[in-house]
Amino acid sequence: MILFREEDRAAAERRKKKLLAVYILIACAYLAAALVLLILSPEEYRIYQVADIALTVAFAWYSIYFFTVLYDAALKRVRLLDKVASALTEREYGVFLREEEPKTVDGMEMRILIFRILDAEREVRLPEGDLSLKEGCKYLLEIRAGVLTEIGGTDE
Amino acid sequence: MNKKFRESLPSNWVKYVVAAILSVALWIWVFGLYHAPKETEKLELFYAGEIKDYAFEDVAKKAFDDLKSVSISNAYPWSGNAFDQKYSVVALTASDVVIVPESVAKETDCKRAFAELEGVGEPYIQEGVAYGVYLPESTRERLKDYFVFGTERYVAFAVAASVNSGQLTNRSIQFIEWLVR
Repeated sequence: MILFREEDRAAAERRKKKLLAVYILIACAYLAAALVLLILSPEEYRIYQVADIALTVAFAWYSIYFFTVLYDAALKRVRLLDKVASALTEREYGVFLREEEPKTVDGMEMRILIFRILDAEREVRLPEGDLSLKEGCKYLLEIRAGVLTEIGGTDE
Repeated sequence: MNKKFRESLPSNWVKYVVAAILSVALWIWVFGLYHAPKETEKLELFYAGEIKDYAFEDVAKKAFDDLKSVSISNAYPWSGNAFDQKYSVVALTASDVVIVPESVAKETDCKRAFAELEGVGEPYIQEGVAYGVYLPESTRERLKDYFVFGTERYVAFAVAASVNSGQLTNRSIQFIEWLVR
Protein backbone atom coordinates (compact mmCIF):
# COMPACT_ATOMS: atom_id res chain seq x y z
CA MET A 1 0.00 0.00 0.00
CA ILE A 2 1.53 3.23 -1.14
CA LEU A 3 1.23 5.95 1.47
CA PHE A 4 3.22 8.66 -0.27
CA ARG A 5 3.25 9.59 -3.95
CA GLU A 6 5.10 12.32 -5.80
CA GLU A 7 1.69 13.70 -6.75
CA ASP A 8 0.97 14.22 -3.03
CA ARG A 9 3.84 16.67 -2.87
CA ALA A 10 2.63 18.56 -5.94
CA ALA A 11 -0.94 18.57 -4.58
CA ALA A 12 0.30 19.98 -1.26
CA GLU A 13 2.18 22.73 -3.08
CA ARG A 14 -0.92 23.57 -5.15
CA ARG A 15 -3.09 23.69 -2.03
CA LYS A 16 -0.62 26.02 -0.34
CA LYS A 17 -0.70 28.39 -3.32
CA LYS A 18 -4.49 28.22 -3.53
CA LEU A 19 -4.78 29.09 0.16
CA LEU A 20 -2.55 32.11 -0.34
CA ALA A 21 -4.49 33.21 -3.43
CA VAL A 22 -7.77 33.04 -1.49
CA TYR A 23 -6.22 35.09 1.32
CA ILE A 24 -5.02 37.75 -1.10
CA LEU A 25 -8.51 37.94 -2.65
CA ILE A 26 -10.07 38.38 0.78
CA ALA A 27 -7.46 41.04 1.63
CA CYS A 28 -8.30 42.98 -1.55
CA ALA A 29 -12.03 42.75 -0.82
CA TYR A 30 -11.44 44.01 2.72
CA LEU A 31 -9.30 46.92 1.53
CA ALA A 32 -11.88 47.91 -1.07
CA ALA A 33 -14.73 47.79 1.47
CA ALA A 34 -12.75 49.75 4.08
CA LEU A 35 -11.78 52.46 1.60
CA VAL A 36 -15.32 52.76 0.23
CA LEU A 37 -16.63 53.24 3.78
CA LEU A 38 -14.05 55.94 4.44
CA ILE A 39 -14.57 57.81 1.19
CA LEU A 40 -18.38 57.71 1.42
CA SER A 41 -18.46 58.71 5.10
CA PRO A 42 -20.37 61.94 5.78
CA GLU A 43 -19.52 64.58 8.41
CA GLU A 44 -21.36 62.50 11.04
CA TYR A 45 -19.14 59.50 10.36
CA ARG A 46 -19.42 57.50 13.60
CA ILE A 47 -21.34 54.57 12.08
CA TYR A 48 -18.93 54.30 9.15
CA GLN A 49 -15.99 54.42 11.53
CA VAL A 50 -17.44 51.64 13.68
CA ALA A 51 -18.07 49.55 10.54
CA ASP A 52 -14.47 50.05 9.43
CA ILE A 53 -13.19 49.12 12.86
CA ALA A 54 -15.34 45.96 12.91
CA LEU A 55 -14.17 45.00 9.39
CA THR A 56 -10.54 45.56 10.31
CA VAL A 57 -10.74 43.59 13.54
CA ALA A 58 -12.40 40.70 11.68
CA PHE A 59 -9.79 40.78 8.91
CA ALA A 60 -6.89 41.10 11.37
CA TRP A 61 -8.14 38.13 13.37
CA TYR A 62 -8.69 36.13 10.22
CA SER A 63 -5.13 36.99 9.11
CA ILE A 64 -3.67 35.85 12.40
CA TYR A 65 -5.69 32.61 12.22
CA PHE A 66 -4.73 32.12 8.58
CA PHE A 67 -0.99 32.50 9.06
CA THR A 68 -0.69 30.74 12.41
CA VAL A 69 -3.00 27.81 11.69
CA LEU A 70 -4.17 27.27 8.09
CA TYR A 71 -1.19 28.44 6.04
CA ASP A 72 1.29 27.26 8.65
CA ALA A 73 -0.11 23.72 8.43
CA ALA A 74 0.00 23.78 4.62
CA LEU A 75 3.59 25.06 4.64
CA LYS A 76 4.73 22.44 7.10
CA ARG A 77 3.09 19.72 5.06
CA VAL A 78 4.90 20.88 1.92
CA ARG A 79 8.22 20.99 3.79
CA LEU A 80 7.71 17.50 5.18
CA LEU A 81 6.81 16.11 1.77
CA ASP A 82 9.86 17.86 0.24
CA LYS A 83 12.05 16.26 2.90
CA VAL A 84 10.51 12.84 2.29
CA ALA A 85 10.77 13.15 -1.49
CA SER A 86 14.47 13.99 -1.38
CA ALA A 87 15.46 11.42 1.27
CA LEU A 88 17.12 8.05 0.67
CA THR A 89 14.73 5.11 0.54
CA GLU A 90 15.11 2.33 3.06
CA ARG A 91 13.37 -1.00 2.47
CA GLU A 92 13.25 -3.31 5.46
CA TYR A 93 11.06 -5.95 6.99
CA GLY A 94 9.73 -5.00 10.38
CA VAL A 95 7.42 -6.45 12.99
CA PHE A 96 4.78 -4.05 14.19
CA LEU A 97 4.97 -3.83 17.99
CA ARG A 98 2.67 -0.99 19.03
CA GLU A 99 1.44 2.53 18.31
CA GLU A 100 2.33 5.30 20.76
CA GLU A 101 0.74 8.70 21.45
CA PRO A 102 0.93 11.07 18.45
CA LYS A 103 3.84 13.51 18.56
CA THR A 104 4.48 16.84 16.94
CA VAL A 105 7.50 16.53 14.67
CA ASP A 106 8.68 19.46 12.53
CA GLY A 107 5.45 21.25 13.51
CA MET A 108 3.19 18.45 12.25
CA GLU A 109 1.27 15.98 14.31
CA MET A 110 2.36 12.43 13.42
CA ARG A 111 1.29 8.94 14.39
CA ILE A 112 4.17 7.07 16.03
CA LEU A 113 4.50 3.40 15.06
CA ILE A 114 7.07 1.18 16.76
CA PHE A 115 8.55 -1.64 14.67
CA ARG A 116 11.22 -4.19 15.44
CA ILE A 117 13.65 -3.92 12.53
CA LEU A 118 16.85 -5.98 12.49
CA ASP A 119 16.45 -6.84 16.19
CA ALA A 120 16.13 -3.21 17.27
CA GLU A 121 13.06 -1.15 18.12
CA ARG A 122 12.59 1.72 15.76
CA GLU A 123 10.16 4.60 15.68
CA VAL A 124 8.54 5.20 12.31
CA ARG A 125 6.28 8.22 11.73
CA LEU A 126 3.09 8.50 9.73
CA PRO A 127 1.62 11.96 9.00
CA GLU A 128 -2.00 10.89 8.70
CA GLY A 129 -4.28 8.18 7.48
CA ASP A 130 -6.46 5.32 8.61
CA LEU A 131 -3.75 2.67 8.31
CA SER A 132 -4.33 -0.02 10.91
CA LEU A 133 -1.75 -2.67 11.64
CA LYS A 134 -1.82 -5.94 13.57
CA GLU A 135 0.57 -6.19 16.46
CA GLY A 136 3.12 -8.93 15.98
CA CYS A 137 2.74 -9.06 12.19
CA LYS A 138 5.67 -8.62 9.84
CA TYR A 139 5.48 -6.02 7.09
CA LEU A 140 7.72 -4.85 4.25
CA LEU A 141 8.40 -1.19 5.01
CA GLU A 142 9.59 1.64 2.79
CA ILE A 143 10.89 4.44 4.96
CA ARG A 144 12.12 7.86 3.85
CA ALA A 145 13.37 10.49 6.31
CA GLY A 146 11.89 8.43 9.14
CA VAL A 147 8.43 8.52 7.54
CA LEU A 148 6.58 5.42 6.39
CA THR A 149 5.90 5.88 2.66
CA GLU A 150 4.87 2.37 1.64
CA ILE A 151 3.86 -0.77 3.47
CA GLY A 152 3.45 -4.24 2.08
CA GLY A 153 2.57 -7.72 3.34
CA THR A 154 5.01 -10.27 4.80
CA ASP A 155 7.67 -12.03 2.73
CA GLU A 156 6.20 -15.47 3.38
CA MET B 1 -13.71 25.05 17.59
CA ASN B 2 -10.85 23.80 15.36
CA LYS B 3 -8.33 21.77 17.40
CA LYS B 4 -5.29 23.47 15.88
CA PHE B 5 -6.82 26.90 16.54
CA ARG B 6 -7.41 26.02 20.21
CA GLU B 7 -3.84 24.79 20.51
CA SER B 8 -2.49 27.99 18.95
CA LEU B 9 -4.46 30.28 21.29
CA PRO B 10 -2.14 30.19 24.33
CA SER B 11 0.76 31.48 22.25
CA ASN B 12 -1.25 33.80 19.98
CA TRP B 13 -3.96 35.42 22.12
CA VAL B 14 -1.80 38.53 22.64
CA LYS B 15 -1.71 39.04 18.85
CA TYR B 16 -5.51 38.99 18.70
CA VAL B 17 -5.77 41.56 21.49
CA VAL B 18 -3.09 43.84 20.00
CA ALA B 19 -4.71 43.58 16.55
CA ALA B 20 -8.06 44.70 17.97
CA ILE B 21 -6.53 47.66 19.83
CA LEU B 22 -4.49 48.75 16.80
CA SER B 23 -7.56 48.50 14.53
CA VAL B 24 -9.52 50.85 16.76
CA ALA B 25 -6.62 53.31 17.07
CA LEU B 26 -5.95 53.21 13.32
CA TRP B 27 -9.49 54.13 12.24
CA ILE B 28 -9.92 56.80 14.90
CA TRP B 29 -6.78 58.43 13.51
CA VAL B 30 -7.66 57.91 9.81
CA PHE B 31 -11.21 59.25 10.10
CA GLY B 32 -10.00 62.19 12.20
CA LEU B 33 -7.43 63.04 9.56
CA TYR B 34 -9.79 62.51 6.61
CA HIS B 35 -12.52 64.71 8.11
CA ALA B 36 -10.25 67.34 9.64
CA PRO B 37 -11.29 70.83 8.54
CA LYS B 38 -9.08 72.32 5.82
CA GLU B 39 -7.23 75.57 6.48
CA THR B 40 -9.99 77.45 4.62
CA GLU B 41 -12.74 75.79 6.68
CA LYS B 42 -11.48 76.83 10.07
CA LEU B 43 -10.65 80.05 11.87
CA GLU B 44 -8.01 80.57 14.53
CA LEU B 45 -8.63 83.61 16.72
CA PHE B 46 -6.02 85.03 19.06
CA TYR B 47 -7.13 87.28 21.89
CA ALA B 48 -4.71 89.30 24.03
CA GLY B 49 -6.52 89.04 27.33
CA GLU B 50 -8.63 86.74 29.44
CA ILE B 51 -11.28 84.46 27.96
CA LYS B 52 -14.46 84.22 30.03
CA ASP B 53 -16.29 81.60 28.02
CA TYR B 54 -15.05 79.53 25.09
CA ALA B 55 -18.67 79.15 23.95
CA PHE B 56 -17.87 82.02 21.59
CA GLU B 57 -16.24 79.37 19.36
CA ASP B 58 -19.68 77.81 18.70
CA VAL B 59 -21.35 81.21 18.30
CA ALA B 60 -18.80 82.26 15.68
CA LYS B 61 -18.95 78.89 13.88
CA LYS B 62 -22.72 79.08 13.53
CA ALA B 63 -22.51 82.59 12.06
CA PHE B 64 -20.81 81.20 8.93
CA ASP B 65 -22.29 78.28 6.92
CA ASP B 66 -19.06 76.85 5.60
CA LEU B 67 -16.97 77.32 8.72
CA LYS B 68 -16.34 73.96 10.41
CA SER B 69 -14.21 75.04 13.32
CA VAL B 70 -13.36 78.14 15.31
CA SER B 71 -10.73 77.95 18.01
CA ILE B 72 -9.51 80.65 20.33
CA SER B 73 -6.11 80.94 21.88
CA ASN B 74 -5.04 83.71 24.22
CA ALA B 75 -2.20 85.19 26.22
CA TYR B 76 -2.03 87.92 28.85
CA PRO B 77 -0.27 91.14 27.73
CA TRP B 78 0.89 91.76 31.32
CA SER B 79 2.88 88.51 31.46
CA GLY B 80 5.98 89.99 29.81
CA ASN B 81 8.19 87.59 27.84
CA ALA B 82 5.62 84.79 27.91
CA PHE B 83 3.14 87.03 26.12
CA ASP B 84 5.77 88.19 23.61
CA GLN B 85 6.64 84.58 22.77
CA LYS B 86 3.06 83.46 22.29
CA TYR B 87 2.11 86.63 20.46
CA SER B 88 4.89 86.28 17.91
CA VAL B 89 4.61 82.48 17.48
CA VAL B 90 0.87 81.85 17.79
CA ALA B 91 -0.82 85.16 17.03
CA LEU B 92 1.27 86.52 14.19
CA THR B 93 2.06 83.18 12.52
CA ALA B 94 -0.61 80.59 13.21
CA SER B 95 -3.75 82.68 13.66
CA ASP B 96 -6.23 84.15 11.19
CA VAL B 97 -7.63 87.02 13.28
CA VAL B 98 -5.97 88.81 16.18
CA ILE B 99 -7.71 91.05 18.73
CA VAL B 100 -5.35 93.09 20.92
CA PRO B 101 -5.46 96.22 23.08
CA GLU B 102 -4.32 99.35 21.28
CA SER B 103 -1.06 99.46 23.29
CA VAL B 104 -0.08 96.05 21.88
CA ALA B 105 -1.07 97.14 18.37
CA LYS B 106 1.25 100.15 18.67
CA GLU B 107 4.16 97.83 19.53
CA THR B 108 3.48 95.62 16.49
CA ASP B 109 5.00 96.16 13.06
CA CYS B 110 1.65 96.02 11.28
CA LYS B 111 3.23 96.21 7.83
CA ARG B 112 4.93 92.83 8.36
CA ALA B 113 2.22 91.14 10.39
CA PHE B 114 -1.21 92.17 9.15
CA ALA B 115 -3.17 92.51 5.95
CA GLU B 116 -4.46 95.91 4.89
CA LEU B 117 -8.09 96.41 5.90
CA GLU B 118 -9.98 99.12 4.08
CA GLY B 119 -13.63 100.09 4.33
CA VAL B 120 -14.38 98.16 7.50
CA GLY B 121 -15.54 100.19 10.50
CA GLU B 122 -13.20 102.65 12.23
CA PRO B 123 -9.74 101.94 10.87
CA TYR B 124 -6.57 101.52 12.90
CA ILE B 125 -3.86 103.29 10.95
CA GLN B 126 -0.12 102.81 11.17
CA GLU B 127 2.24 104.77 8.92
CA GLY B 128 -0.70 106.00 6.88
CA VAL B 129 -2.12 102.56 6.10
CA ALA B 130 -5.29 101.02 7.57
CA TYR B 131 -4.35 97.61 8.99
CA GLY B 132 -6.97 96.97 11.64
CA VAL B 133 -10.41 97.91 12.93
CA TYR B 134 -11.28 99.33 16.34
CA LEU B 135 -13.91 97.27 18.14
CA PRO B 136 -16.86 99.60 18.69
CA GLU B 137 -18.58 99.80 22.08
CA SER B 138 -21.52 97.81 20.72
CA THR B 139 -19.20 94.92 19.88
CA ARG B 140 -17.58 94.98 23.31
CA GLU B 141 -21.04 94.95 24.86
CA ARG B 142 -22.05 91.98 22.70
CA LEU B 143 -18.87 90.05 23.49
CA LYS B 144 -18.55 90.88 27.20
CA ASP B 145 -19.88 87.44 28.18
CA TYR B 146 -17.03 85.76 26.35
CA PHE B 147 -14.02 88.12 26.66
CA VAL B 148 -12.67 90.24 29.51
CA PHE B 149 -12.01 93.72 28.10
CA GLY B 150 -9.74 96.27 29.79
CA THR B 151 -10.13 100.01 29.74
CA GLU B 152 -8.14 100.47 26.50
CA ARG B 153 -9.64 100.32 23.04
CA TYR B 154 -9.25 96.99 21.27
CA VAL B 155 -8.26 96.44 17.66
CA ALA B 156 -8.98 93.48 15.36
CA PHE B 157 -6.50 92.53 12.64
CA ALA B 158 -6.38 89.97 9.82
CA VAL B 159 -3.04 88.15 9.93
CA ALA B 160 -1.21 88.56 6.62
CA ALA B 161 0.29 85.03 6.71
CA SER B 162 -3.16 83.42 6.91
CA VAL B 163 -4.68 81.79 3.81
CA ASN B 164 -7.98 83.33 4.92
CA SER B 165 -6.72 86.91 4.64
CA GLY B 166 -7.00 87.10 0.88
CA GLN B 167 -4.72 84.30 -0.37
CA LEU B 168 -7.41 81.61 -0.71
CA THR B 169 -10.42 83.11 1.05
CA ASN B 170 -11.44 86.41 2.66
CA ARG B 171 -12.81 84.67 5.72
CA SER B 172 -10.67 86.66 8.17
CA ILE B 173 -12.01 89.95 6.80
CA GLN B 174 -15.59 88.61 6.74
CA PHE B 175 -15.17 87.57 10.35
CA ILE B 176 -13.92 91.00 11.37
CA GLU B 177 -16.85 92.61 9.49
CA TRP B 178 -19.22 90.33 11.42
CA LEU B 179 -17.53 91.24 14.71
CA VAL B 180 -17.85 95.01 14.27
CA ARG B 181 -21.31 95.07 12.60
